Amino acid sequence: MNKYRRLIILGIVLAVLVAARFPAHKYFRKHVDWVTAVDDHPLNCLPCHLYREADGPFSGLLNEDYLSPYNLTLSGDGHSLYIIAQDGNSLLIADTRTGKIISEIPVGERPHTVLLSKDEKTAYVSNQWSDYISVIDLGTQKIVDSLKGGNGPAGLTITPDGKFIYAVNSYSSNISVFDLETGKEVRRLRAGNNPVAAGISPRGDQVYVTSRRTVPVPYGDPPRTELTVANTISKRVDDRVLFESAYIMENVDVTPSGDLAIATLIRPKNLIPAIQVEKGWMMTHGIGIIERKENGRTIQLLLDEPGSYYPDPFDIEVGPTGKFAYVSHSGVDAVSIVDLDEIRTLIAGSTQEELDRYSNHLGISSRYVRGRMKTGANPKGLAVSPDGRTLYVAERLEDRVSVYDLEKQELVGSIDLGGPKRISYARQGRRVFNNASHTFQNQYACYTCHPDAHEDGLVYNMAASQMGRNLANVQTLRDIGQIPPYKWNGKNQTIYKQDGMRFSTVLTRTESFSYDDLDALVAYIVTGIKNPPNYRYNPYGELTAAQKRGKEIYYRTHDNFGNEIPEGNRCYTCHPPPYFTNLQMVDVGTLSETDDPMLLDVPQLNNIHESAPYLHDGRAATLEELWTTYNDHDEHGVGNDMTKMQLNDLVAYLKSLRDASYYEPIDPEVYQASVGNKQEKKNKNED
Amino acid sequence: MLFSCGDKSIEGLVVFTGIPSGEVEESLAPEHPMTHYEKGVLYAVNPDDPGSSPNMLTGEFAAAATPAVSHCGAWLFFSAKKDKGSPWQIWRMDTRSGKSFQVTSFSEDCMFPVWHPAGRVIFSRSQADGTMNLYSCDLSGENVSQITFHPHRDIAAGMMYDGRILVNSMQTHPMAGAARFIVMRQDGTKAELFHQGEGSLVPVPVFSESTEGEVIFIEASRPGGLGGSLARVHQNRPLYTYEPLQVSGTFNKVLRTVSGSYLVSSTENGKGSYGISLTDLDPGVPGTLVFRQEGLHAIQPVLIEARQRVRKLPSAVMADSETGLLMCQDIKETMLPPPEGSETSTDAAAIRIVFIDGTTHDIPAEADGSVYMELTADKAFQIYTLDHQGNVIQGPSSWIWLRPNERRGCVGCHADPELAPHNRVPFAVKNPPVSVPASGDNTREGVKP
Repeated sequence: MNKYRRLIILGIVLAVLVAARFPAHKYFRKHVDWVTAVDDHPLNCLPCHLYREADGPFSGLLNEDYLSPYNLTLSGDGHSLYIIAQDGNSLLIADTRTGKIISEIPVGERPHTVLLSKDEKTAYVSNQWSDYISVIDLGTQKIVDSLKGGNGPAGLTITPDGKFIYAVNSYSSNISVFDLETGKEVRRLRAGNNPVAAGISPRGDQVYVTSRRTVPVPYGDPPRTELTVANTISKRVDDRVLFESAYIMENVDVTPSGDLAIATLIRPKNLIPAIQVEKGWMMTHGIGIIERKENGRTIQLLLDEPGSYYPDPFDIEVGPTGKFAYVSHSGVDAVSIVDLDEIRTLIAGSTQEELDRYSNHLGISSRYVRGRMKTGANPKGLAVSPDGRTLYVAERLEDRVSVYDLEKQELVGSIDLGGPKRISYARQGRRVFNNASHTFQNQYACYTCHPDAHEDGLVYNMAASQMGRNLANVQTLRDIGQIPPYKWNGKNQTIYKQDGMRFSTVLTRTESFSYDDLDALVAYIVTGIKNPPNYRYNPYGELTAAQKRGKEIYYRTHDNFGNEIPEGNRCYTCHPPPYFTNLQMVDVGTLSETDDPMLLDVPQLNNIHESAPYLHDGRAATLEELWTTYNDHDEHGVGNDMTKMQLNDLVAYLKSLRDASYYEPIDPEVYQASVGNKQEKKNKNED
Repeated sequence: MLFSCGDKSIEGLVVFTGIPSGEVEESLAPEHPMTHYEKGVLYAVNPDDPGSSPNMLTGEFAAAATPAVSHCGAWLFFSAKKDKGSPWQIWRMDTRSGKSFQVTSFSEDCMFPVWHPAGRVIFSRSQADGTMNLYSCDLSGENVSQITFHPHRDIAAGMMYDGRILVNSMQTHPMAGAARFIVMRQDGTKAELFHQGEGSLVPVPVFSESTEGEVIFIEASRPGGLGGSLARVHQNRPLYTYEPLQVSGTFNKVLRTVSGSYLVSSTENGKGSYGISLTDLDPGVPGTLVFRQEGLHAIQPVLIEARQRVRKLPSAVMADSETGLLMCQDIKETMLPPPEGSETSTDAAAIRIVFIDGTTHDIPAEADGSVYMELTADKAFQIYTLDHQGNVIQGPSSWIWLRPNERRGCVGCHADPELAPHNRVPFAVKNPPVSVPASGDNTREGVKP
């Protein structure tokens, strides 16, 4: 930025500040009161007009490019630590003996997991947003190839013979099996909903794949989340283990003896009226266990305590002896040390009925949690040294890997990744978003219901007026800075109001955010949350024939019988690009008996394919159901004239919708004219 | 009302209640044993100068007791009697100037002040029937708000770091019970058991919480004595982590300081005068004496220092509401064994609500055992579980109350207190709540299920 430009900017800022202090003070006060919905927020222009700049002239000055370590892998000798820099789009390699980063290898966008070949000469990095796996020659530290399978590659594991990689495709919900000799995908297996991580048994006969979202369940049933068990011999799925009342199973590991497969999970209480936090009434967190034997059982155990919760368990690593497992809790900056022998004893001595009871028991963790180690902000991936004495913790929002002595349960060092030292406002807000200390007894963070700042696919009974009423489908936070108002009933005009005092009264039930934290949180929400690419339904930005036909239906002005569709009842009227919402409140006939009378905020449709279920109360399991089941009277757009094929096309188009940056506001008449001309030509040709 | 105590800063000093040790029995305020003495005087002493004479802070009061410090360290609260015949009231002293201001002005005793993080003070107010409930008011004594509503003697022992009030509570009606700790949010909602006495020991209204969640308190077997022994529980799991501390002495007060050591008032085996020391509560390491003087019990010490503020909890109470909502997920879920010769608890088919005024309602449970009720707020009630024939299976419960607009849920009746709810829609909430009103008067009837 040149000198004059900086001076101009400085002058503008000073002028605004002077104006705020003197002649326009009343106006500014009124404005800030409206935005924040309180009358004592500091009169400060910067949080809204400077720190929320995502791309403007100040953005480069205010924001930083952080690295954000995510997942880790250690070399066999424990001397090299491979670190995924999720925001840095690179693979970092650290020497654990010196605690220094020795190299950085750029990879694709939003890398997720790093895996080493058996000879440790090659590293594989899954790039979730770039949709391929980078193959890196560790000798030259160059990318030498890429593997292309399903969409959104995330977790990786390799068979003991080193011949096959199982790659978890988080967006297309399947598993790609790659033959490393040919570099080709040889099989694709269906996984659970939004699978993310893989672990392999010591003998290599089975691969366990976690998933985060529930499989489809009848409306009003608790979530059921699949842990897929793939057979590496047949390369088929052996089993689909459903964990009842659980979801967000982030990672999985198998004990060295192979007796237990253990995954992290969350047990939400979305079906119970959200009337209190006490006694695990909103969220509980723990592990899911599969006994790997004939007639082995499936068990869930909590890692929480009655007065203290350990939300957002992310990674689990079993130590080399198989006696202890380590679980990172991203929501409370802690790692739990879990005594697996005690768990084995507990399981062996318990009936299934008792185990079912333990799955909701907050005190049972005292039997097997041997300690908690405090970490830096937002611990994610873990790695245990081969001798089992050292634990490495990726502290995502610190740009640091911490090193713990597992015998002493003490922090003994850290590896600085070399990221920016300054904590930007948005970064502070991201920490607030991910940390549960803003909830009573740390029971959940914003992230818990909004993983990756998206939504968790559940419907909550928020009990706004009475218990059992006003069910709310969790909405994504992507781009929400652009699409006020907030809440389904649109009662909150700004994010400040959405996350203000009322938020703490009915949701977090502890002290509300400080204004500094609230400013930072808003800055993060409006600057830092992007839609992932929609490779699944719109990989190249060119619509398929079906999607094009669906687009024509979306923008149509006349129904199949030639009747003009009232403007207010056309898709694009309420859902215009680029966000596919007109920001208005409407009644489209979707209120149910459990709703109080209200209008509903028109939701955005960007990346709608990954936001099931649909409607404000999540009644529609699929987009199709919006028209086949919940639009009897054409109040939610004229659609009952559509043929099955037309509906398929419309849904195909909706699923193709991607980030708002790809769209310009469309003049429907211009679009219709162009479509109409084509249609006219087509009809003439057919004649 | 303004009252000068000498305009001297007491920041950094230890303030304690001194009572003549030879006159303990005579000086007891009989209805408030262990805490309030007719000859009590507040003194300040410098912890860094153990041999120094204490300064009298409340010489112009007939009696003073139970000093407590605001988290900012700016205010010292205490109970005091201006004249011998007048009731105890809450006062506050500016710790910089030493000036005192009267906070409460009731005709009943107001005692046991505790700082409220929203800039208020919580205190116990005596009732004519022998109960004491918790109230709060702002620093000028205005905007008084009642917090507890059951027939108990409630004494706020202090605030926990998570923002809840730890209350020493003893039932008085229909019969006297043993003191125990209950914990509740700052507006009196979500009250629940925290610790009940072990064996013949009952907790007294003293506790100290570390920032790591360790809660140390004093338990005694003889009500009315000056002290007891130390015990601890952990805040994370208080009902199952009780442990007596192996520290010799009889303790009147224990308070963790910001430095991590404990300020205690104690005497060796109950003999001699109570003195004040700073200690790590390590049995093998003697503490540092702060003050001890024969002939004077130095009790209830506090250190005038700023501390980490406890959480300021938002309140769900709405003054214009007259009811609260209570939902039980499954009344058959219980830890209690069925009474001998009775039906099993799993046969529970209904619950009975009996308000303190005698109003009784039977509410049948849904097929899944759930009940959902709208009850008169701020009125104590007890719960019984009934079988299909209307016979009582279990009950009565402890006294419970709901605050206006409070919405409260429980897993079962006397369910395992560490059990989180099952994630399923309770049948009962598919319909509006059953209305369960009290009669509207405040008379206390004998509770006869």
